[in-house]
Amino acid sequence: MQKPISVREVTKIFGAGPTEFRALDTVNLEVERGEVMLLMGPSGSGKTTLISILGCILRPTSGSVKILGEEVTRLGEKQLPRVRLENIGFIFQGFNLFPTLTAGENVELALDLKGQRGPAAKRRARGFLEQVGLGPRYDSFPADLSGGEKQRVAIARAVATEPQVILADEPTAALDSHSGRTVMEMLRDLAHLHGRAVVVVTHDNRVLEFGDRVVRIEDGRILSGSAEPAPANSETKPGPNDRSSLFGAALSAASSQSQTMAVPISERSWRLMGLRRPLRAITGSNICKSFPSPPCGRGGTARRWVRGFRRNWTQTV
Amino acid sequence: MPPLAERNLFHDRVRLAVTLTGVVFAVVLIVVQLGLYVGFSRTTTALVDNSSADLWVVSKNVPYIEQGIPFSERKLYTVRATPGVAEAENYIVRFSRWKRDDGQEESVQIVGVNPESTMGQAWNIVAGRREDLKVDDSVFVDRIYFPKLGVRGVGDMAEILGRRARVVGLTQGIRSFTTSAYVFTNYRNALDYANLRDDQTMFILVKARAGVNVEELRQRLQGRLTGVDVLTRQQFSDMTRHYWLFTTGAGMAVLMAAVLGLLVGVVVVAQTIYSSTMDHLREFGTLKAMGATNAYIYKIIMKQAAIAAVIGYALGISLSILVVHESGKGGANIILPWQLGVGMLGLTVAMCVAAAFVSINKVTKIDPAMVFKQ
Repeated sequence: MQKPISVREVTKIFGAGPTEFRALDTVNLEVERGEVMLLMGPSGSGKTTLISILGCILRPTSGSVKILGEEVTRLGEKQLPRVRLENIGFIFQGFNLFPTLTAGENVELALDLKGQRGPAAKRRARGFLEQVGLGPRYDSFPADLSGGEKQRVAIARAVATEPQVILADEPTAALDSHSGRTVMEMLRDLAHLHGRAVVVVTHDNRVLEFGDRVVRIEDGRILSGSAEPAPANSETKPGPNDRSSLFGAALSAASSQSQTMAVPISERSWRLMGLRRPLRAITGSNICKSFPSPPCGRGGTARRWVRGFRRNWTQTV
Repeated sequence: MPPLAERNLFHDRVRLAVTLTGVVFAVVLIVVQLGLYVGFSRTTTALVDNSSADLWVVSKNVPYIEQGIPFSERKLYTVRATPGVAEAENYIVRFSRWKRDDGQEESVQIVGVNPESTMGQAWNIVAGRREDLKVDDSVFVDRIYFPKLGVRGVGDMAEILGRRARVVGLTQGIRSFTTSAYVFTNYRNALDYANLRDDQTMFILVKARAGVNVEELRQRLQGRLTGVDVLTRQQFSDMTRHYWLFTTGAGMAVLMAAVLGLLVGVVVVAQTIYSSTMDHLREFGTLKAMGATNAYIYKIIMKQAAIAAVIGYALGISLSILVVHESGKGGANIILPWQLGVGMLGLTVAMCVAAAFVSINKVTKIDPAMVFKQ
């Protein structure tokens, strides 16, 4: 199976002559499906340049970049938006939400880019927001949301187009520790339970526990031997049977790549996303249970809800 | 599509107000100036366009109707004898002096024709009958010129070159492009009022028989008559209009003002939409990063421009109608035909869309990598 991201001998040079600056120097990198790769390094090390190249926003000076097996360096400028739209979801440090659109409309915008419009798109957008615990905030503007809520809306927007690659640039930099943990848990679930390749650019050591692998970059070079596993954390990497996903089966039902088990989510969320419930078909029994909508408060409250959600699920099954 | 264009436009009320002010200013200025141009255009050629004549016989090289030169009225018989001519009448248009009750004199233009002719008659008659002009010393004047002529209504008396003139009828809306009001009378009276000899005329109006080719008739008459030009109604109308609007410079001044209004509108709208685009540059960069094509982004900017155009047009045309209505009371002749109103909508949208190209150029050059910068 094609690797989601494959980078070979990539170099990026800005300027020319005396002002030439080598931002990346023969970088080789691969990111697997279902993996959270943390890209860490000091300021000016080339992290943003590398993630820009992975996101088909910047072209390398030389080398090969393949996204889901497609050599993107050979594509014309007019073809790159298609690659980004179909395969890549972005999460930014500054959230980059559209301030004049509501949370729901921000997610709808992503669907609109894929040609999905009308009431069906609104339902899907609401479903994605519910999955990040912000269903009740559908009509709220970004100015009325906390930092953690904004980033969760950004995540919902990023996954709405069902990309196989998620690129997150310092997603927790502007958040408090609780909100940051919530966001990282969501990103981890996207990788582990839904098979996305997630690359997180960070210099925040607090997110180490959420990564599967750490790649360190310095002066535009991947430090040899730096592709180490992330430090072990108290919560082991969930396997395919783990149902404690904040995104639930919503994404797995929509994605043909996923192999996750169905996870109970609220009946309403199923209906809003217009998706059929797979559990009945798989198990023959009605184990779908309506759970209360998660609170939309700050990180600590959301984390307590996550733990409660997991506890309820374990008891039910 | 989520309402990004609308929200960006209405988000900043002050900037929206500036944008709409620019559009409204442009619409009002253009409509008023073009309305003046249409008014001038129609006024200068009113006598020719409303003459019901197919052909005009005028003295050689006469450039416009007010510059007529007397010629022998015997040519009328030659015209009448020409095959294809259904009707021909002598016609006078000449400046004269009108003496009011209070002794003050005003310049007027005497318009004289046989009252039984189907050509060259007064129109928009609101008092009296055309037949009333058969009487000696009878005249029709227009209500617009009551104050100027010292007239209050039908029956009032005045003097024209020492001869009595009695108002027997009134018209409404027949303006002269010059300051001299038209005074309609019969041909006999006109000879006296205009100080012409009995064997003189200023013009001959010609109507062609049904089915006769007017151009062929014109050429036939031109071949038979000497010392005069034979022109179609349209030709003489165009000549008169061209003289007053372009040879005098009046029309050019009006058109230049209209063009200036258009330029101001483009500049103001371009500046405000550009300012809005710059404020939302990061969002456009994010859209590009998300996979939006340039065309998608252009659509947002164009939509913003189009909405501003429609709202600005609605406000501007409403104000223009008010201005036109009020200016009519003051004597200005601003005409707002529906074609001008509808055309103005298209022009306003085009103006705003053209203004948006400055922003489009900027958006095209966005570096999507800017989305990663704080």
